[in-house]
Amino acid sequence: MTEQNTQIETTPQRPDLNVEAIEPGKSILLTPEQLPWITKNEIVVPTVLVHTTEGLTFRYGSTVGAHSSVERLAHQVQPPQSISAERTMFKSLPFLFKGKKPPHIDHVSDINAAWPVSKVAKVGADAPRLFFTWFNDDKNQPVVLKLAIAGHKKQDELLGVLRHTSVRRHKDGRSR
Amino acid sequence: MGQGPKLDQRAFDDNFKSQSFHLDEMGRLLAIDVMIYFGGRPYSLTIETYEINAQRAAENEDMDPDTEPDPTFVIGGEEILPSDLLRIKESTFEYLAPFLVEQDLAS
Repeated sequence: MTEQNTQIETTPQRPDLNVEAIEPGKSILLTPEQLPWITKNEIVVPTVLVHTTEGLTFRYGSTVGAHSSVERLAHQVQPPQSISAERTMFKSLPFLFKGKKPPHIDHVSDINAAWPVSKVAKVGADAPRLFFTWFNDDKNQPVVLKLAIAGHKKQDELLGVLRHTSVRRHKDGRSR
Repeated sequence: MGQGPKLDQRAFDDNFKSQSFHLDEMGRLLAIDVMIYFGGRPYSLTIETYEINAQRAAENEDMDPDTEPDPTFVIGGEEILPSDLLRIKESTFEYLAPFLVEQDLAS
């Protein structure tokens, strides 16, 4: 079996997320064992090193392009709504890194990812649901991954993908 | 205390599924998104305590003022109890309709 190693596109940098500086960061190699909805055997996720105005430093990357349905649902979200949800996620990180529970961030159950998955919720009737996770790398530096985003009315469809209930797999790990 | 989710799984079945939830430091359930089915169609339903509903509303200052708030079923107590979930689960479609967001069928 040939190893598939696919590099997905990084999220464009945006100047409106209350960050002080963004610079290129080290890429991350991810597998379906870590994020079960990934349809390749491996993906390489570019990251950027983010320094926030509150003194936080972390690597940030997006795996939205790792699944065609996840990518399609993300493209349906209007940019202002996507930016607003992403800003809410960034605001929550100081709390999450300290082990606290930001009131506007929910825990998502039943996703068998390697790390707990959280969701930005409650920012308007047509507002998107943004799913993300974070973990510490081998140098104990936080890494934040934007996993998916979809409109409220598409939440059920998106969760079907993330919970891996709508994807069949061959025994060799490839999806069909 | 605060050791994992204090969700009563008896409230959930194939027609009433937890999508996400928020617990406080004491392990109290303050908010939960569920998927509930009527006539085989899925609907998202957000259930929150009054306190967290007010907090979230206050955090929406960066949103477009024309954006409507999420329809939310607000519980009066300090936490959402299993009895609350069971009561909601047994409610009629007509009673819950103002709080439901119908899900688009997968395309």
